[in-house]
Amino acid sequence: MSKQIHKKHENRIKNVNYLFAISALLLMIIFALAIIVPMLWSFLSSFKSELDYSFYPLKLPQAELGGWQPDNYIIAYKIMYVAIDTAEGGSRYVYATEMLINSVIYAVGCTLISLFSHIIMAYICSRFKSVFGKIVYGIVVVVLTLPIIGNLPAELQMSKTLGVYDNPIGIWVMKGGFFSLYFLVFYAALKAVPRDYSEAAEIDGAGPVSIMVKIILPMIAGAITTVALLVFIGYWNEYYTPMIYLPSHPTIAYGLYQLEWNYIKYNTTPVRLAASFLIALPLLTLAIIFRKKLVGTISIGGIKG
Amino acid sequence: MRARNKGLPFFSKKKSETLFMIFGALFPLLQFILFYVCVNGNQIILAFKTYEDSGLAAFAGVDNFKNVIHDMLYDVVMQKALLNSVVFFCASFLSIVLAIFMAFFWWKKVWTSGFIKILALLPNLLSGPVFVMIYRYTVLDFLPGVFNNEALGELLLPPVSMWTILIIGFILGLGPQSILFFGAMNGVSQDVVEYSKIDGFGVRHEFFKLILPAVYPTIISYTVIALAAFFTNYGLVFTFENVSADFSIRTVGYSLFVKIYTAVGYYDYPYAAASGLIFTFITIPFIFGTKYVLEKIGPKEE
Repeated sequence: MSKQIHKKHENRIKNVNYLFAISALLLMIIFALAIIVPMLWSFLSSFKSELDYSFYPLKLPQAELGGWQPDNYIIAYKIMYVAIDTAEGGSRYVYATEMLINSVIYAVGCTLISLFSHIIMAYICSRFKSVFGKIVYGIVVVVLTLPIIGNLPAELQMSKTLGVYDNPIGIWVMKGGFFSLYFLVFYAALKAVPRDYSEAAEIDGAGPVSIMVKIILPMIAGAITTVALLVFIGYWNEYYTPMIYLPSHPTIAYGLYQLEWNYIKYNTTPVRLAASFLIALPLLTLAIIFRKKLVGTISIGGIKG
Repeated sequence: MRARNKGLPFFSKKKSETLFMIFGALFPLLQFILFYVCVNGNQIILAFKTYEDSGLAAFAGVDNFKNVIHDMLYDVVMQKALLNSVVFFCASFLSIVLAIFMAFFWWKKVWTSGFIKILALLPNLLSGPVFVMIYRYTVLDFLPGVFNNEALGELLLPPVSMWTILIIGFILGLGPQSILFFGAMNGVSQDVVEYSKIDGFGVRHEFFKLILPAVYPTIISYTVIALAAFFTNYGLVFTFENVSADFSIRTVGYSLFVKIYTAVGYYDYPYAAASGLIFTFITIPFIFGTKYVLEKIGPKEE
C-alpha cells in the first residue's frame, strides 16, 4: 500500500515538473518573440526605402524600390536635431555630434557623482559604528519608502533659484544624491567585508581614506562596476531630465525622441528606425563587453525597518 | 557596581575617522538638504500660493487643495486618469508576479534560459524612444495587414492604445525585474536545494518553500516601488504620445507632468504641487499598510 502511495506521489511530482517545464518554455518563447521579432523587423526595415517599407514590410529590401539603403544611417545622423533658444533671444539647431558630446558629459558626470555619494555614505554607515551612520541609514530607508509625489514644479523652481538649471555641472550636483536602492546594494556589500582587513590596515598605520580606497573598495569592485554600468546606461538613455533641466544641452536620447516629432524631408520611417539602432549601438557594444557583470547577482533585498 | 553603557559615539572615537566622516558626508548631505528637504519644503509652500498674470505670487490659502479635491470628485478627466493609474499599477504588480516565475525558470536553468537572460537586458540597455519606435513602426503599424484584420489598426488609437502601451510596458519591464529576482534567488544555498531533491520534493516545493521566501523581501520592495509610482507613472505614455495623449489614456502622473512641462511661467505650479501633496498623503498609508500585510502573510524560509 505504501508503495502505491509513494508511486502516486512520484507521478504527481513528475506531472508538475512537466507542467512547469512546458509553461516555462512557453513564457520564455513568447517573451523572446516579443523582443526579437520587432527588433529584427525594425533592423531590416532600417535598410529600406519608404516605399519598400510600406509595400513589403516583411520582405528583404526589393531592388526595384531602391534595394538596401545603408545611407539611411548617415541620413539619420545628419537630420537628428533639436532646436534650442539662445541667450541672445534667437534659436539654433543642435545636431547629433553635439548631442553625443552632451550625452557623454551628462551620463559620465552624473554617474561619477552619483556613485561617489552612494559609496561614501554606504561606507560611512556600514563601516563605522556611529549614531550618525544609523541616522543616515534610517533616513535613506524612510526616503525610499515614502514617495514624495509631484515635486517637479518645486524642483524646477529650486533649480532655477540655485542656478543649476540648464547647467550641466549643476545637474551633476542635482543627481548627486544617495537615495536609491543602490545605497542598500553598496551597504550590504560593504557590510559583508570583514573588519579584520580594516583593523589590520590600521595597525599598519593606514588612515581611513587609504583603508577605504586601497583595501575595502577593491574588494567590492564587482558590485561597483555593475552598479556603475547600470547607472551610466540609465543616464545615457534618460531623456526626461535633459529635456526639462538642460534645454540648451539636449542629449542624443532626446534627439532621437524629437526625431519622431520633427516633420522634415528625409525623416522617413526607415531613417527613424536607423536612428534608433545608431543610438543603441554604443550601449549594445558595452553590453556585449560587460554582459557577465550586467547579468550579475545584485539583489536589492528588502527594505526592512 | 555595574559599568555604565557608554553607547555609540555620534561620529567616531577616533579623530581621523570623525574628520573622514564629516568631510566625506559633506557633499551628499548638502545635496540632500538642498534637493530633498528644501525642494519638498518648497513644494509645501508652492501649494499655498497662486501666481497672478503679472507673475507675482500671492497667498492662496487652501484654494489649490480645494481645486484638486474638486477635480478628483467631479472632473471626469481626472477620474479617468485615476482609473488609468489603477490599471497601470495592476499591470506593474502582474509584471512582478510573472518576473518571479521567469527568474525561477532561469534559476532552474530551463532550456534557452541563458539566451533569454541576455535578451532580458535589452530593455535596460535601450532607451524608451528606441523601443517605442521599434514597436510602433513594425508590429503595431502592420498587424492589420499581416492578420487581415482592420480592427487591429485601433491598437494605436485611443482608448485601445492605452492597453497597447500597457502591454509594451509590461514586456519591457519583465526582463529587468526578472534579472533582479534572479539575483535574489542565487542567494539560496545549493545544499538546501539538494536536500529537498533527496527528500523527493519537486518543483512546486522548491518554488514555494525555498525560493519564494528568499525573494520575498525583493517582492515587497518592488510592490512598494510600484505603489510609490502609482501617481507618478507617465514615462511610456509620454514617450508614445508626447504632450497630446488623448484624455482617455492619460494617467495622473502624465497629466501632472504635461501640465508642468508645457507651462508658461509658474501659473500651474501651485495646482501641481497641491496635487502632489494630496497624492502623497493618500499613498503613504497604502504603502505602509501593504508592507505590513505582505510582511505578515509572507512565507517563512524553511
